[in-house]
Amino acid sequence: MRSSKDLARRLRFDRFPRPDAFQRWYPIAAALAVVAAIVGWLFIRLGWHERQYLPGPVAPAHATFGDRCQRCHSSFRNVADRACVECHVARAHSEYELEAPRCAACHVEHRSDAVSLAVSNRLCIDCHGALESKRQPKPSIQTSIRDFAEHPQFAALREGAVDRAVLRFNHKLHLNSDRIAKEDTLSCPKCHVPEADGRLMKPINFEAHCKRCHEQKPPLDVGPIEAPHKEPAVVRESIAAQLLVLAVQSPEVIFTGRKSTLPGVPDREPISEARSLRAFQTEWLGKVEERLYKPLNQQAPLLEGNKYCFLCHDSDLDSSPGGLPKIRASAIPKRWLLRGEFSHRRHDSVECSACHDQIRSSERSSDVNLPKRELCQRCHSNVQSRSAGTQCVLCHSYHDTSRHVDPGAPARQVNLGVLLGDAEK
Amino acid sequence: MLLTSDHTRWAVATSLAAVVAAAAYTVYATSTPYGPSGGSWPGLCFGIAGTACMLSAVFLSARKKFLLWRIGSAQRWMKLHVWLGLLAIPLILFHAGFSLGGPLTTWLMVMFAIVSLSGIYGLAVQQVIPRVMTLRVPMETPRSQIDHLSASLIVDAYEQVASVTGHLPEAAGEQAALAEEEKRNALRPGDWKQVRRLIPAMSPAEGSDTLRNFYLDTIRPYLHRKAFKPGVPPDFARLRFDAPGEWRAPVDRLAEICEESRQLAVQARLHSWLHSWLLMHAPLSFALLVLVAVHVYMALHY
Amino acid sequence: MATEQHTDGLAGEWLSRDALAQIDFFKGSKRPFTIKLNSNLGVVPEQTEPGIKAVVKRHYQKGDVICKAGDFGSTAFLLLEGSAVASLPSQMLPAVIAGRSARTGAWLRGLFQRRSSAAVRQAVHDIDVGEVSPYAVVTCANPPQPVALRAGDFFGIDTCINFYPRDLTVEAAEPCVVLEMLRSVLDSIRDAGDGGERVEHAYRQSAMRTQFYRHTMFRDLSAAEMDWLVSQSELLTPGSDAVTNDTLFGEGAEVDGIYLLRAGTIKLSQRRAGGDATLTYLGSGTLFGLEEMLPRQRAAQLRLVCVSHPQEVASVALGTSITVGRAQTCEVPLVGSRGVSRKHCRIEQRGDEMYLVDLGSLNGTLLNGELIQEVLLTTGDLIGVGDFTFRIDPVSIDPKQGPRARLTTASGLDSFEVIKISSATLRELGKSNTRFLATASSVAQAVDAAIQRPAAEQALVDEVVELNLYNSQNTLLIDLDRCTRCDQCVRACATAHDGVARFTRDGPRFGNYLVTLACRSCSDPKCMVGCPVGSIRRRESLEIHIEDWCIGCGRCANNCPFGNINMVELAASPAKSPEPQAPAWKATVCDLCAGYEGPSCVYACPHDAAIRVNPSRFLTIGDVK
Repeated sequence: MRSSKDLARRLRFDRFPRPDAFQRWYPIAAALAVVAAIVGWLFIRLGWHERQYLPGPVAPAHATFGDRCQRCHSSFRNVADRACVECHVARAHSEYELEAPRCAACHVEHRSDAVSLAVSNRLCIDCHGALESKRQPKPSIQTSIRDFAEHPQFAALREGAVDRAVLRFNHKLHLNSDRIAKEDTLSCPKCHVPEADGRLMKPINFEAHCKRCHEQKPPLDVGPIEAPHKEPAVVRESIAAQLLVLAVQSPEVIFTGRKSTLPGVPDREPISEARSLRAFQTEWLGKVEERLYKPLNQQAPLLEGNKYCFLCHDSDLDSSPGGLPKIRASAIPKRWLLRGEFSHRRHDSVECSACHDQIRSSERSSDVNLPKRELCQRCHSNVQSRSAGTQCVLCHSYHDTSRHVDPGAPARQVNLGVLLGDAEK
Repeated sequence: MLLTSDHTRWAVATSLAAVVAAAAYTVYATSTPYGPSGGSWPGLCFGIAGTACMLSAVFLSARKKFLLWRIGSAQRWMKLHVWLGLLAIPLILFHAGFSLGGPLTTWLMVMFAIVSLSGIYGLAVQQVIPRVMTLRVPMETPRSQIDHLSASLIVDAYEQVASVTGHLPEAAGEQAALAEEEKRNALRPGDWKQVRRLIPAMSPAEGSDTLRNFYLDTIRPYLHRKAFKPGVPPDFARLRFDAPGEWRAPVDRLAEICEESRQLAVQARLHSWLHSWLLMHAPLSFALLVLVAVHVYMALHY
Repeated sequence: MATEQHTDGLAGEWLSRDALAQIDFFKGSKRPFTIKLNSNLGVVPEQTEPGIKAVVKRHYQKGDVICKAGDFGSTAFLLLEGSAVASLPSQMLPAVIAGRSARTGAWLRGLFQRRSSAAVRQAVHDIDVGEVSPYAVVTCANPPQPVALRAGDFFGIDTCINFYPRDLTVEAAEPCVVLEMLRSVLDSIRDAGDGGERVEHAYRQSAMRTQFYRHTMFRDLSAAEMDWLVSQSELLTPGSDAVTNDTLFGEGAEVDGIYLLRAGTIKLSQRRAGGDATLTYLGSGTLFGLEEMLPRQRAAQLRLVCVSHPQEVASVALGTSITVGRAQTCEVPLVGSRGVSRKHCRIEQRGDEMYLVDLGSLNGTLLNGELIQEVLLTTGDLIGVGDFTFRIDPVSIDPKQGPRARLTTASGLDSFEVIKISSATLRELGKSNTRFLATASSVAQAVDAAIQRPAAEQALVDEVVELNLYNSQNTLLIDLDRCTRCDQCVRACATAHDGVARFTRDGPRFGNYLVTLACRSCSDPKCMVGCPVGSIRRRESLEIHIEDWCIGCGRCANNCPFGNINMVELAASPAKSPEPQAPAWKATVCDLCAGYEGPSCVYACPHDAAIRVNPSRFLTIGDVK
């Protein structure tokens, strides 16, 4: 065995332990590693600039911001709504809402566009799962809804709900009638055309959709008179004017001949006895209006003597003698789903009758021919393996677009100047 | 650091913490609408916890700078370093939600992976190599002494040979080293650390050419070889057979010198295995911390 | 009390050379009683007050404690005026390392305990290889009356002579003037003719007295008997006439007394076939030399004695089987003899009986003149092997029969102090002391147990001796399976000591442990012997300090058997001397990080590899490879 003393003798005595090869390398390696890390970082900086700090890609719409993070972010704070509202229209949710969340609470950025706009049901359920309000009166809507399966029936279809439109329309007749059919086939799209945005149907227009069959021309001896599809007062003026024109164009209708007693003088009635133009106008106006405003006789054959105003419209029957009938406003609802959105175009791969299944048998206009919630749930369900989705935001927008905002306004109003960075300059 | 039964408590505590964190992460990941992210508050918690683990692990190196401070023994710090460092791995992964994120976070993850893997490698190496070194290098010496010892082995070998053959003009370097040593010893008090040297023979012993040639051809090149190369030590069988009885002591000593030289090379090699990973682990962890600071600042900034 | 200012030597009133010459003890001395100054501290003329004081005068009031039992101190005192009382405390607690709080100590002990849990489990097999006093509680059941000290008396010299803690507590009985001096000054006095002898005598009397009072065997003695015992006993040191070659008594020698070990380590060994076997080590406070009086249980106690060539062939005890032959590998080698085969014959132990077996030798083996193949041996048989004749002798085992012979050889491993009490004195005392036999048999049984120790345990003992670990009190061991060789321990050491590491992480191995080149705090520090300026010393506690007035002679570094003291080159200090000087040398040694809580090397080891232990207690059989 080597003795302790012998070992000690051989060793060089170091006042401070001399660094061995490894320890000599250590500072160099340390410096190299730190430099490599920093250079790697700088390299990233070079290629990505400020975007290096992105935790994920921004929505494509926001991509134009590029490196200008300050566009939305302010230092050491969450993104304020103010930043969003600069471009986007701020819209309230509900008057019952206690505290409006920040935009970013629902619109998560730096994920992808899908996430940014497709707000998860969870966020809705946070409140609507157990709705509470301190405000009076309480909101009338369902207080607990966690899933589309729990969605209540649409308001328009609930018990006792009817179409309150003051207009008679028989879908069954129009869609099935031979008489109509032999001339021309009536189908849904003949009358119901979606709006440009593809969501709702355009309102039914008499001129465009009804007039072809339902002409307002009472047959008269004096000649053709057409009543415009307007209020009775307007109609009266129009008819009166038409009568005058008629009288002027064919005076013989008014001035019926009598044999002249004098040679060379045409036979004519003495002027004094001649009927005045006004009398003619009054006389015939009365006759036309009588036709037009003849009450609907349900027993009479359709289109015979019945086919004018009161075929569809109701009057208040409060016509003083010589006065005009008061036609009730038709009040066709502009949209049935007041809180939800629906796009017909999205669904144009399905037949109309697939959803509006009762329409061919609907005789009365009070029938609400809206598809029921259950029908929606056939596709929009959690159960089906290939569900069409049950996200709340498919129909409901958090931001109230239905009641407080003109539906005609564009959904997204973008200040392009801000978008292009003019504001910065 | 050798993992012994002393570590059981730490291991259990770390696994428990990891399991709890994993459970929390599972709940959070499934309940959050848009999947886990580092910015959400649970994600932030994981991030803070993970960074705290990393920081406390880094304190070990700070501890190494203040060796005298009685702030808990280095051994406890080491345990803290190992186990919290391991715990940091799941926490950071949970923080990141198992995704790389943007460019900076990707870079951070790459560096974190290097640091963690090198650390785990180092831990594994420390289980094995010390034992191997104990077994294979009985003539071990501090690493910093190897250069010095290799040099003195060269001189020792020459001294043994010269005691038989007299001075050899071929080994001028060794003679100079001996003279240098004598000069140095004269300056020293007493005979502290003085190796008594054999006196070189006045004239070559009879038949000493064998030894001389063997020394110059085989032993000397072997001793002068590069460090880290254990090589094949010279075979003394023939020399022992040829050499007369009175040479037994120097020949045995020469064989011992060659063996020691070989062991020192083995030691140097094992030593570098045992420590080289640290060259990557420690500096990168500092760089990582710097970038984590940038990441934290920027994440809070935006 | 001792020094507070370690850089300036002792604290107190300086005495000029002339003033010292007035004092009795210093008259005859030829050596100067000032410290030779370290060149880097500057040379100061002897007549002016030096920077470093080796002898100082101090004044004490009544009741002041001048020195306390248990301290190391490394200084001696001379009472100049007034009187004082010296008392032996009933209990002396183990010395501690300076600066360590009790809490940290407990934690440290806990650390060791955990590490050596295997050793704790094996407590049954634990071997007590020497008890070392500074770590043990020393008790004195029946403390003597305090002794009055008068002017001209020396006291506190024990720690300067044997490096053990002070035995006596000295208090001033009235206002007194005391001269305190470093060990080097006391050495000068001891060297000088007349005064030295008086000092020696006083020390021997006091040492023996203290030791007797501490031992249970003598507790029943009256004060008068004790005085008689002291006068009849003899204090043996390696230099004594009765000690040759560090050996107190040889195996087979006549039993003529018993021994009480005061300081140092004594080895008991026995000649066995194949060489000497160390049986045990005895530490301070042990009584030995009694074991021969114990009735032996072992049947065979035979001895093979060569009658034809007693000078060349040593006699061996017949413990196990031994082989006789020409080969070197034989237990009894008969080298260069004629008519002896390589392996000639074997003496086999079968149960309790010994048989002689011929191993097919050329010339055959003779028993009592007849050629034999295999035969049972009895006492007195003569065996012939070639030219050699052996006799089977019995080992005297019954105390009542014939002259008693020593079973073992007792030799000192280092410097030692042993009190010898002759048989005659014992016999005289034994008449009144009934405890004698009980104590004697318990001590003897311990030795007997050691004789029958299993081979594995023997290997541990041998290894401990080979590495000289028996008198180490605090060794830095490194578990090589855990150590990653990161050198944090060395760096911590250097940081704690102004950038000079006090140990080297190299050294011999003990199994899986590296026994580092760090001071072992020997119970018998050889380094302290002969320091010309008394700068290497223990202050009040266990650790060894080298004070600033070290002159760099290198003697301690040379004396340290383990190479644990290093000489460091110091740059000349420009503050103390204006002219440029050559770099000075200074010795450095591990001071166990006195002033810190625990040794920094252990504290800084991240891998739980470095430990500080008393190796003879910590290491177990399992550690031997």
